[in-house]
Amino acid sequence: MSDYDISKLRAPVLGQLLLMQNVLCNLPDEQSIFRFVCRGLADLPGVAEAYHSTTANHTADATLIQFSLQAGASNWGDLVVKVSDRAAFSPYEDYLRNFIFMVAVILQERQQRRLNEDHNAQLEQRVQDRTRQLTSEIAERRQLEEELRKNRNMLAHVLDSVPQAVFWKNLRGEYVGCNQVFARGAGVDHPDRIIGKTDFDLPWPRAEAEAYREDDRIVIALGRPKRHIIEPLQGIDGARRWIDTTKVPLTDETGLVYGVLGVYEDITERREAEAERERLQGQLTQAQKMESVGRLAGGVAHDFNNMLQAIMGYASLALTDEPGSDSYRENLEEIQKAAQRSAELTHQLLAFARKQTVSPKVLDLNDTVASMLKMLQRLIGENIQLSWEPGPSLWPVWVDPVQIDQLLANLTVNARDAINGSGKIIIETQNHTLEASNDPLPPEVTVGDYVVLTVRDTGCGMDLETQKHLFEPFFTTKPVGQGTGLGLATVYGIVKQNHGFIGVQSECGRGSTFTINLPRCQIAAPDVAKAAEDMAIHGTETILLVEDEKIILRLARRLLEQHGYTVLAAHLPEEALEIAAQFPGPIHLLITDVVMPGLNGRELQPRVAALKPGLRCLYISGYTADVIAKQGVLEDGVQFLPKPFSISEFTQKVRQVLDGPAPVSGGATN
Amino acid sequence: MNNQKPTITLGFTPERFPAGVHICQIFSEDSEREEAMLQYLQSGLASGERTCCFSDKAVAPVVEKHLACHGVSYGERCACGDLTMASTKDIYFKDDCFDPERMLETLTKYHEDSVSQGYPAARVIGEMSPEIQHVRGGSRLLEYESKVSLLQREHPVTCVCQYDARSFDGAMIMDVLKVHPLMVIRGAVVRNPFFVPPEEFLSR
Repeated sequence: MSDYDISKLRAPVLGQLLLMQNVLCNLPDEQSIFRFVCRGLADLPGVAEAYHSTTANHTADATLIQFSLQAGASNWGDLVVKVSDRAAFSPYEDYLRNFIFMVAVILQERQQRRLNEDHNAQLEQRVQDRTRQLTSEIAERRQLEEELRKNRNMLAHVLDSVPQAVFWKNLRGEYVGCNQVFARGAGVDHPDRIIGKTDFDLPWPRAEAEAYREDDRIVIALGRPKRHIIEPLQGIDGARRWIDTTKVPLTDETGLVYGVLGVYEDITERREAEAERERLQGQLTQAQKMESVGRLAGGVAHDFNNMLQAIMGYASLALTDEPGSDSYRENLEEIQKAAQRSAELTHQLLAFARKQTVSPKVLDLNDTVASMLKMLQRLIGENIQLSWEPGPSLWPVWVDPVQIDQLLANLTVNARDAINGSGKIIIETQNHTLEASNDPLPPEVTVGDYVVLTVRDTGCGMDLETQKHLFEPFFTTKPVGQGTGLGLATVYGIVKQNHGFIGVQSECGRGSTFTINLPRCQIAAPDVAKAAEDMAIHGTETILLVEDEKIILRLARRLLEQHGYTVLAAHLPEEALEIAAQFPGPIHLLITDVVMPGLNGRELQPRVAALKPGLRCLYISGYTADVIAKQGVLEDGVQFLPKPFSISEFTQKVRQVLDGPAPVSGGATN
Repeated sequence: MNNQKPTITLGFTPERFPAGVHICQIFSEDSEREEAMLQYLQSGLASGERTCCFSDKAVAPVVEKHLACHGVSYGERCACGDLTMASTKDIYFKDDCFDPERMLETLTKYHEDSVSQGYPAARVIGEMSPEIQHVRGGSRLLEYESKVSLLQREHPVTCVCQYDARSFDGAMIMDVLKVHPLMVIRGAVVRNPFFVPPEEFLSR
């Protein structure tokens, strides 16, 4: 600081400077301060005027004195004092320089304060902005979390609401989640507890766990669903259940498989119910069939008695005739005809009534229907005319002939009941190709070739309401006790079973037409008759014949001997064994009745075969198919000829068995 | 005319001054202005002086609350005429014009009435509105202020003039200083070294 003589300074002037220093602090901006100070400085002794300058250099003018407004790095230019009286001003120059320096310091502090304030304000603003942003982000995140939570809860609720068990696993086979149903089945008390477990940690047997895992691997490897896996599942109570499982691959947005999702349904009860329903249906179908048999029996009994009457009458006449005479031969031929017709009758009756599993064959429907006509005529009675109109070149079908019998019997009986008094039933067949058309087909119907079997009647017809319920089981329009309501239901079931469909057209008072469409079979029907004609019927082999009915035994022995065979006849199984043991030569064929006292035919065969290796076997029986089936005679590869049979049927069958494949080692069958 | 001026306290400090001083306060914060105003008014009423306040700010509730704290009823004092609260605009800028003569007459009458009504003294505090810089006659502000000092010689009405440094230019503030013999700085009343006696000021 420069020296200055304070004694030369006037107190008011110093007061002015001090006052300015105090007051300028109140002024809001620098320019206002400069104007305030300059106006004040103008009152100083020897000063003409004062002003603020930022650019000019006034050192050349001796009347001008510059006072730098600089503090530190801050510079606001100069305050320039124009001196009018140098001597008067001089005592104040240094003081004034200090004063102006103080002004600069004040400005610097103010500037720094403003910078700080600006900085603080910016910081505050940034804090506020960031706080607001964070608050918004937090609120948004909370909202998303809340939505996520709601979605998760809803998904869990949905998953827990479905009755099926749902689960999903990762590629390592570890469970990632499941619903409540699955958790309960797996013996865990909450779905979350399943996480991280594998099938081997759960209470099912190892073999089943491995099977589940294998299915997972297949689904993951192929990237395709595996549907309706019917498999066992052991519950936590150890009970075995049956489940229907579908597994689908879990893929991310790029299609990469990252796990497997499974859904299974417990079908144990459904399976049991289906089995029970099938059993009941079988019982009901059989009951219905027996009802038809009952009806048929009435008609058959009449015819059968007529045939017996003829046999007995012609036999009596033959006994009185000279053997070898023409009348003797004619009587015998009449007996043969009557017996043949009787055999056909019983054959049809048994075929219709027998209870056997479905055994579809390639059929010519025309042949099948034609063979049924007599029986059908008896079923419907003489007042109703049965008309048969077979279609030409009918395609074959793949159906159990017994089912065709059943189907025709039910439809004709139904038609008969619809006809009051006299009327007509027309049975037709024809080929029909169903093509795709604009009219939508029913869902169960597919385009293709069908053989159409039509049963049309001139009866009372049906209203629409009746048609609606026509194929429902136990639906009947007949009085109580006259109908089971199973006839058309059985027809419907048979048609569906054979992948066909059925249609009905009817109007009250204008009759009904049932149209059965059975899919065409691409295999042609065998010409049985021609095959029989071609077959040789003679031979020279040795046959052991076992039959407890002596009449049949004698007859069969004579027939076989007439055709060149050597016959060892036994009327009891024990006797047969004895003969076989003692006969030194080979026995090529055992012909045995099935049901006999002591050993049955099925038991006898292996014991004889043990004595005579290479033995073939042919079973004969007059029992119905179901009885024979219980003896194991109807199994594949077992040769069987039902009684009654014609001579040609018998000799052809014998030749067929003898010429057929040799028995396997041990000769257990033929 | 009574030349025996009573001494009064201004409320800022215990110091006593002869009635009829002319003081300015340069402030830059409202709290500073408000504190000075309340001290001045309360002091005047406490001394039994007739007291008046010109301000465009909503000061009445603040004054009422402050006086109440000192046991003084704002309503009663207003009702009896001890205290007058008025708008700067209504007083200074009547008819949108600043008329120094009219203002001086108002001050004169105010003092005369006060004296005639038996008040020992009268005081006024007013905040000069920055509007003065734009109204007709506003350029005569310094003339008016200077003449107030003259008037006080005959009518010693004590006046405190409040100027907001944020609303007036620095040069104007310096000019204001020159027409007020006393100043309130940081709560203290000081002689103003810049003061120019009215005769000299008005002769410039």
